[in-house]
Amino acid sequence: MADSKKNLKIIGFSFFLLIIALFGIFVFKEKKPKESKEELFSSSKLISPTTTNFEEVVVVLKKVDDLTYQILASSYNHDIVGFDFIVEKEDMTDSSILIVSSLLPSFSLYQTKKENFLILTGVKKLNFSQPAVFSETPVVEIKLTKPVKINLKNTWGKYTSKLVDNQNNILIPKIVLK
Amino acid sequence: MKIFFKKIYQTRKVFAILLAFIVFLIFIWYFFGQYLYKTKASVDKVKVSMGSTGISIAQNKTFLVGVNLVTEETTKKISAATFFLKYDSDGKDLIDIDPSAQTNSLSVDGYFDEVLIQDLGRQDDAKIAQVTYLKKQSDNNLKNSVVIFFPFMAKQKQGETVVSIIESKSQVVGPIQDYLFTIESTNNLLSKIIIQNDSFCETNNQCGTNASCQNNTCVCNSGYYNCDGNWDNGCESTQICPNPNNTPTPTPTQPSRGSVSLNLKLKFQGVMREPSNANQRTMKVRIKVAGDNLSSPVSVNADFTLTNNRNSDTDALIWNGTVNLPAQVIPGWKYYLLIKGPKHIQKKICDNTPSETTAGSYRCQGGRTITFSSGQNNLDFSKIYLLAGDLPVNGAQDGVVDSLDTSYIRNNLGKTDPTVVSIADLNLDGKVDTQDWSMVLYALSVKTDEE
Repeated sequence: MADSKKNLKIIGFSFFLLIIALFGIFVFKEKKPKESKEELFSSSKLISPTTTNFEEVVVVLKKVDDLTYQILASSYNHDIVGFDFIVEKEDMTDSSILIVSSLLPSFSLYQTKKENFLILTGVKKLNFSQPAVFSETPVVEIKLTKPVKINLKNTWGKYTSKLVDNQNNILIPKIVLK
Repeated sequence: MKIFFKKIYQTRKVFAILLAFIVFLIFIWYFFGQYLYKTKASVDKVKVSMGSTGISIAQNKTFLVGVNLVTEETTKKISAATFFLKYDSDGKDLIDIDPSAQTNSLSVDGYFDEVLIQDLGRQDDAKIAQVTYLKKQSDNNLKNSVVIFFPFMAKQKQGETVVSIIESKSQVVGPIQDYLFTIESTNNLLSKIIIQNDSFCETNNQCGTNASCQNNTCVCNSGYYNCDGNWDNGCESTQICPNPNNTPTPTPTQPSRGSVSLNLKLKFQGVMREPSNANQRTMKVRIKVAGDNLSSPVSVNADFTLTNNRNSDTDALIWNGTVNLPAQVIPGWKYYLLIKGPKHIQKKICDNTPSETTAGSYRCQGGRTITFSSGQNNLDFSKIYLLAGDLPVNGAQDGVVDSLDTSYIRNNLGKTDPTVVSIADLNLDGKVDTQDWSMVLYALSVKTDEE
């Protein structure tokens, strides 16, 4: 009888430990930062030596369908006056053509083709004075003549994907492929 | 039967103790592994990127190479870092690490309390240094994003070198000892360093008193002279120097060494009239020679002065300059030239008298070359335009016309302040205006330096 009580005590103690363990895990897990949209933007900022503030921007290459992609930008309250994007066509030998157009009437789009890359430069027109703050804003549309995989690159050679604001701040975005 | 039940009870006892022990071990392992202690196997990442991919600096000057550190998770803080740097590869001797740099200047806001700089000498034909940053303050003051600087000093010799971070040896440390982040580089962890001549500058402060920085060259203010050749004390004399090092209007570089010199005529897009500011009548141009015996182009800077000549009434004014080429350039051999103005796209030229039908359309094609003769060579490049557009926005050109160049002009339209004008006034009319805007848009069609 005494043994049985002792065993019950041991079993009870082990359950107590188990509950403590589960409680501990639960409490500390809660303290871990939650994934939020804001967090998605973090750690993406590259600053020039003269700039010390850390802010965040993100650019998304979104596949609309097999022949259509869109580039969406979030500028985190910066008023954007220019941008550069590097679009890579994965298959160099592929003969498909990329047709790009600006989705914003306030921006002109210039393009240069180098090897299997398309360098896009967006320039805000002079006759538009309204601030251009992007928030998952579709800025560029890319049409393909046949399905081919394309990427958005941060850098290639001398080129960098970036947004430039009305204070000449260079904002290097986190690039997300969707 | 009683013995049988007793055995069952005893087995249960052992099982219960075992269970309790296992649960306890699992908890300890999970708790310490996740929340309290991490080792080299940590998967938390810190993004490391160079602040600038290129830095130009005058001889004998100290300079800083900036690096950004940002942890992937904002809750993970940085308390220390150690970086191994490699520079002056291939036996070059252009820069040294500067151990005398002030600690508080080596991180933004003096974040790190202690910085240890060690010159490790030459290994595998490159110089190696170790720079360690420590923050001794309490955890509450730690940040997840830090900007640090590596201090260097340019030596006497001009040329190009590269500073790179040896990623595999470098470490960034979290809030407790041995908590190491995994370094993730967002771009190549290297920065090109160009050592320019003594008078090279990016800001007026670098030229000392009674002088200003014009087109990346220190120039004395009117009535002042730099007789000792030292720009740290600026233009110290009000008397004309017996052997002037610098005058308000610099003269073209005179041949001093090598057996090939070039008398060049150039034409810069948009400069239709004489600038109102006399300092803008001189332009510093980089000339590279490449070809036959040269494994990589040799680079020379020269001052070009504006003339009143033009090829036609509607054409831009012509600039003259003389440049003495290094001894590696041999008379009779075949070369081509790469010419880059201070706000311009680099142009590749391989004809003695190139011409074009539309501005900027000339291309060096078909393997053509230029052969120099010993002594003076007259080359007339005034029938082609050097297109403007690659602005020295952050003190140096990046070889590309992009949104930074267009945005800088757009953001400064109508401005006449000297710093802005020195960067973005492409037609040299003393202000940033829509003509400059049109020129930079035109240059987007060429986009990049010709190589």
